[in-house]
Amino acid sequence: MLEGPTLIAFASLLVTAILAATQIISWIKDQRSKRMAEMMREAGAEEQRDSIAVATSERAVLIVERALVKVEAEAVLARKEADELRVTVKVLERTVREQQRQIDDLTARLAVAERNSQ
Amino acid sequence: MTEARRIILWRLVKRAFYLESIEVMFAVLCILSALTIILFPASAPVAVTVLPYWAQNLWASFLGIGGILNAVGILSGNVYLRRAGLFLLCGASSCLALLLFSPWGGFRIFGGLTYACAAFCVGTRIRLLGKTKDALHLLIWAEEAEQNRKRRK
Repeated sequence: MLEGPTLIAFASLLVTAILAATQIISWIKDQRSKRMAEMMREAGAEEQRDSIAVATSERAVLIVERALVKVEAEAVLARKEADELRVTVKVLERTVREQQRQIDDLTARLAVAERNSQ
Repeated sequence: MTEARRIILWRLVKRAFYLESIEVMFAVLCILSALTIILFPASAPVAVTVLPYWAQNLWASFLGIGGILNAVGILSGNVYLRRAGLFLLCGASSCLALLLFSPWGGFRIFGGLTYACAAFCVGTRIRLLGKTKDALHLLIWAEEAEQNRKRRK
């Protein structure tokens, strides 16, 4: 059993050892909380990076969609132009055919007139 | 040890001696006396010799570990380690003061008062460190940031 001076010494040393141990424990807790805060910060940064990536991809999709709309509009215009050109070609073909017929007619008439003059 | 590490360590030691010269001296003295008492038990203070051998060694180890923790805390700028070391030193000095005041220590009032004063001073230092922990860190960081800014210019 502890008695006399040993008891005094042991008691005072024990109390201060407990106080020192609380300091060490609070230091460890502080370190842990710092590490947690760092992890949280890293997680936040990762989230931000993800959101930036999402925003970038959304933007890319938007740009592609816009380009697609433009191309479609151009295609519609080109189709319309092609239709118009086809109509013009048909009209021109008809005209050419009529003129050819007229030429044939005139040639036939000329042949008849030549035969009559002989 | 690389050159950069050596320079950083030297800077830390210099800063510790500039800012906390008395505390560093106290820690070094405690470590030296602990080593002396553990290696040569006959050199222990008279009041401590009334304790059994293991208790003498326990007291000396409190001095030594307290001094080492305090010195490491000062060098690394860790207030928790500093406070833990100071708690151990406070315990060792208050234990000695109590022994000197007691009949087993021969009622040595002046010697007891000296060690009680030491314990009180260490206690106030512990309190001050606890209160100004964040302020101290901020000051050191601000100083380092200022130096870095000047160096960059």
